[in-house]
Amino acid sequence: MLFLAVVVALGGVTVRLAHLQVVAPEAYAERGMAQRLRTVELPAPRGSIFDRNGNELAISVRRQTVWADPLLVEDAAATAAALAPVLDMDQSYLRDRLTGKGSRFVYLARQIDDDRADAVEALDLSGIGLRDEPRRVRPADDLALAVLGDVDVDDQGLSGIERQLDGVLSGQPGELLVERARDGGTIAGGQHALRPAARGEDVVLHLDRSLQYEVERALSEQVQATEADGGMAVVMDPRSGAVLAMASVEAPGGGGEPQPTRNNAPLTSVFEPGSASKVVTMSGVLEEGVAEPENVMVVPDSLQVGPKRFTDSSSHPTQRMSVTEVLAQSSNVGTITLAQRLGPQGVDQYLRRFGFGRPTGLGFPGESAGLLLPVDDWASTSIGSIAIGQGVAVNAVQMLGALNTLANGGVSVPPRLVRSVIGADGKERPVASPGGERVVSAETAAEMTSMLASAVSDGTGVNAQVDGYTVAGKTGTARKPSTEVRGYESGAYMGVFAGFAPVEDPRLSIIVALDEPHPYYGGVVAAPVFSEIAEYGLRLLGVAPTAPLPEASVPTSPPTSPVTPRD
Amino acid sequence: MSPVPAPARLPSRAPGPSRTDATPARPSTPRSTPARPDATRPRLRLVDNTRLEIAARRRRARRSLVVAGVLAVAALLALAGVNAVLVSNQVRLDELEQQVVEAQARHQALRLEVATLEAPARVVSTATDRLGMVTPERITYVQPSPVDAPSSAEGLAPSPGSTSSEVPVGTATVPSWGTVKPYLSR
Repeated sequence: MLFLAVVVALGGVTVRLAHLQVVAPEAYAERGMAQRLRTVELPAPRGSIFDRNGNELAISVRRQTVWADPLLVEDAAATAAALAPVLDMDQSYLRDRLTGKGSRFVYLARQIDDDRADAVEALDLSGIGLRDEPRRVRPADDLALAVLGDVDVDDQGLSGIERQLDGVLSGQPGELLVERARDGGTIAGGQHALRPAARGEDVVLHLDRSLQYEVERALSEQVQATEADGGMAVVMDPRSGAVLAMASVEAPGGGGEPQPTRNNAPLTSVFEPGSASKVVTMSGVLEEGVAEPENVMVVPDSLQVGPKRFTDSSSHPTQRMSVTEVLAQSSNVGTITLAQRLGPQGVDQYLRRFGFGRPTGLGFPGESAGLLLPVDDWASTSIGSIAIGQGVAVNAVQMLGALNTLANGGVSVPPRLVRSVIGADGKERPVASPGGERVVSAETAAEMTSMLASAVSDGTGVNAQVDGYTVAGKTGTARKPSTEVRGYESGAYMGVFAGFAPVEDPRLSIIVALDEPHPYYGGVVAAPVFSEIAEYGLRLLGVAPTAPLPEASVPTSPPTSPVTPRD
Repeated sequence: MSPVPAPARLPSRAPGPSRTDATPARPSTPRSTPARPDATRPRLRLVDNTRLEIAARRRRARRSLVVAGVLAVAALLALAGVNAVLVSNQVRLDELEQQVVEAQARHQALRLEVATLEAPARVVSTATDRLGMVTPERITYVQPSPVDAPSSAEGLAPSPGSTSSEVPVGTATVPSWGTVKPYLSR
C-alpha cells in the first residue's frame, strides 16, 4: 500500500517534471527571468558651471521626488490629508491626483528637500513612493542669473548658457540590466548588461564671481540712487576679450531694491549709443587722415544738416577747439563737421568695421545684432545723427567691443564668455575663439586712446577717474526711441559710459548703461559706477597703480561730490 | 559510483606483459635453475594474449573512471566553493556600490554647502551684519618710501608696471579635477 502511494507520488512528480522541462520550458524560464531581471536607470548628472576660479555657479544635486501609484493607494482622502501638511500642498489637489485613473505613475511633488522627503518616508503610506531626481541649484542665488540662464524641471536648458551649451552640459543616462534576488541583492553570475551613463561635461566661464557680485551691487545701488528703470554693465579683459562680469538689473515697479533680470540685456537688448559711438566716428576721421588730434577747428553753436539743426548739449559761442577737445567735450557740432568730411560711406564703413550691426560671435541665445541702416537708405540728416550715435542701435557688448579694439592697438577682440569645457576624464579643453582683425592702425588706436584719456582727465568723463590709475573712456547720453510713435520718447534717456584702464596697459574695459536715470547724463550717472567697478576690478586683478597715488594715505576728506559735466 | 575491483587499487604491481614474462621460469635465466627442483614446477600453459589485453584494458578503464570520479567530486566541491565566494563578494560589491552612491550624494551635498557658504552675498552680509565690518570709504595704498624700498619692500608691494598679481586670476581652476572627475561619472 505504502509502496503504491510512493509510486503514484513519484509518478506525479515525473509527469510534472516532464511538463515543466519538455512541454513548455521557455514560458517558465521567461517568467522566472522576468521576476529576476531588473533594469536600473543610471542617472547622468548635468555638468556644473564654474567661474574662472573654479567656483560653482550652477550645480545639479539629487533631490527626492514624491510620486504615487493611484492603484495602490488605499484611502486617497486619508493619504492626501497626511501628505498635505508635509508637502505644504493643497489637500484636494492631492486627492485628485491620487484618485487619477489610467495612470500608475503620477508626480505629487518634485525635487523636494531632504527633510520633507524623510517626513514623507516616515509616513509609510501605501502607493506613495520616492525617487531621486536631479535639481539645478545656483549656490549664489541670483548671481549672474541672466548669463547662466535656467533649466526646466526636467533639467533641460531654457535660457542663457544653460540653453546655449545644453548639449555639452546634459549627460547621457545609462542603463544596467541585472538579475536581482528577492532581497534586492544582485545574483552573482547572473545576466549583466551595462550601458554606462555619460556624465554631462562641466563648463568654465570667464566670469569672476567676486567681480560679478561687485558689479551687480554697484549697478543696483546706482539704479536705486538715480531712480532709473534699470541698468546693465559688462566688464571685459580688452586683450583677450574675456567677459569677466555681465550684469543687468531692473527696478521693480513702485520702488524697492533692483533685482537681477532673467533677460541678459547686455546681449539681448539694444540701445542708441549716443555720444559713446563718437569713438567710432573719430577713429575713422583719424584713420582716413581727415584730421589730426591737435588740429584746431571752429565750432559754432549749431549746425544745419538737411532739414535738421544739430546743437551741442549746452549752448556756447562759436569757439575754437582741437579735435581732441571735440571728443573730450563731446561736441556734436564738431563731430558732425568732421563726419561730413569723412562722408557717409566712411562713417558707415567704420561702424561696421568696429562690429556694429552684426552679432558678437558669442552665440548667446536671443542675442541681438543691433540695427545699422544701409548707407543707401540714409536720409539727408543721417550723416549728422548717425555720426553722433543716433539712428544706430547696438548692444552693450558691441559698444564695449569698439573700446576694446582701441585698447588692443587697433585689432578687434572677439568677446569670449566660455573659457573651457571639462570632460568626463577631468581634462580641461579650452574653447577655441576666432582671432581678431585689424580695424584701425596702431597709431590711430594710440591717438584715440590718449584722446579718450583726456575725455576722462578733463572732459565729460571726469567722474570715471580711479585713484592711482589712468583711465580712458567716453560718455554717452542718448534719447530712447519711442515704442509707440516715430521719433523719441520725451524725457527718456540712456546714460552710458564705456572705457578702459589703465591707459598704458589696458587690463579692464567696462561699459555701464543706465536706463532712464535722473539726472540722465552718462558722465554723471554711469561714470561713477565705472569708477567703482574699475577700482575694485583692478585691485582684484592685482594691477599695480599706474598714476600718482592720492596725497593722503589716511582717509582725511570725504570723497568730493561728483562734478556735473555736460555731455 | 561503480564498485572498484580490488586489483585496481594496487597500481604498484606492474601490469601487462611484463608479468607474463616473469611467471614462466625460462631456462634462459641460468642462475635460478639449479635452485628449483623439477618436480614442483607447474605445468606450463599457453597464455591467451587477447584475454590478457582485455583484462588490462578493463583495469585501465576502471582506473580512469575512478580518477574521473575523484576529479568530478573535487570540481563540484571547488565550484561550490567558488560560488560561495562569488556570492559573498557580490554582496560585498553591492554594499560597496551603495557606499559609492551615498558618498557621491554626500560629496555633492557638501559641495553645495561650501559653494553656498562662499557665495559673495552671504560673505558680505555676514561681514557687515554679524561681524560689524564696514566697507572703507576709500582705499589706502601703502607705498614704501624710496629709501627702504630696495631692502625691505621686496615681496611686499608689486613694483610699478609689473603685472604680477597676488591673486592669480584664471589659474586657480581646481587643479585636481583630473583625479577626481573620472570617479564622479557613474
